[in-house]
Amino acid sequence: MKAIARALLRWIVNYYPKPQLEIGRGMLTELEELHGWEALKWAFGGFEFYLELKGASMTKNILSISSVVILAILASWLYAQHQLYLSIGILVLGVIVAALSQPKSAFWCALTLAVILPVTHLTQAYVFSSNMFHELRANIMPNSVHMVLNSEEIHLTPTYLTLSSINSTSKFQVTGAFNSGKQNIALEFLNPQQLWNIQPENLDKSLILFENQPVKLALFGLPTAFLLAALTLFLRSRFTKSSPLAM
Amino acid sequence: MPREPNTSPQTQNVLQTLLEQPQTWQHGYELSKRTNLKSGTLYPILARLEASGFLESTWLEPSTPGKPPRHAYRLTSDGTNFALQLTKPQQLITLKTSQA
Repeated sequence: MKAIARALLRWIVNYYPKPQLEIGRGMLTELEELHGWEALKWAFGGFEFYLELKGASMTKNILSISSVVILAILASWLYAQHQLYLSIGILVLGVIVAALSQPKSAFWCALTLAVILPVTHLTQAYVFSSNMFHELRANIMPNSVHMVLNSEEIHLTPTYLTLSSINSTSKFQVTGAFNSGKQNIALEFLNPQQLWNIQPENLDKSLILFENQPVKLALFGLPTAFLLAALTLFLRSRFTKSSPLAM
Repeated sequence: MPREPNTSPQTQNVLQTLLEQPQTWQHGYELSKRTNLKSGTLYPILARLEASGFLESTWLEPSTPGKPPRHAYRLTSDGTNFALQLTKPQQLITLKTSQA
């Protein structure tokens, strides 16, 4: 534990501004007097000191990060509503405002975004796919579904079908109600053709988008997040005298 | 530009502790224990006080061989005066309370 604490503190002290470097080294030598969790807590104090030196107190940082989280939730909701550009617009606007009003903590905001955005996109990929499913259902709802269930050949007229989950191997688990009287039946289909039993020419090509949608969106999300982080850094260096990287 | 030392309860606590032995060099860990402040609170205060000229620091050779030198702090004359100014009203209040 002490070795970890020493390594952490030594690392962060390297980033202290020159006038406070000596006091940081003093903090490091005091670590030799401590053991276990006490040493680790002492080392975390070094991080708090660093934040204090950068003019961003823990409270301010927590507030900034909370704002970004709220912003990300709002953007995610808009994204789920297929308002992609509005969603990105809100995130960019949020970062610009953060950079202008609180330049020192904007750096942390951007880093938070860089973590949140890919996760958000991965999560939203499922919502997005689900929404697409509903759209397709409206367009190509079949009159009857022919399938084999428990070795029994049956014809069903779906009254509704709800997509429960999608996984990366294109298996669709569907819960629905049918005219046979079976309620909340859970079925697993290997591909959309099996689900609808419709003619291939009626199959909307956008159905293929179901496959690997999370991967595609993650590939989109990561560059977006880093772009936002870069934008924040640029704005910070543009509107403040010192560069955020010159720690 | 160094920040002016504020008179937060934590800063007053550090100044009072240092004032108990104004001529003695005191280590960070000892100060942390005596003031009951975490390192993340104590060190920014020490840094501000030093930048304001109320505190001086030095590296002391270890008493036990093989250990690294330790950073120690004590009040300057300005720091002592400042600490006295801050603590005087409290001392007076304490005195009045005890007399009553």
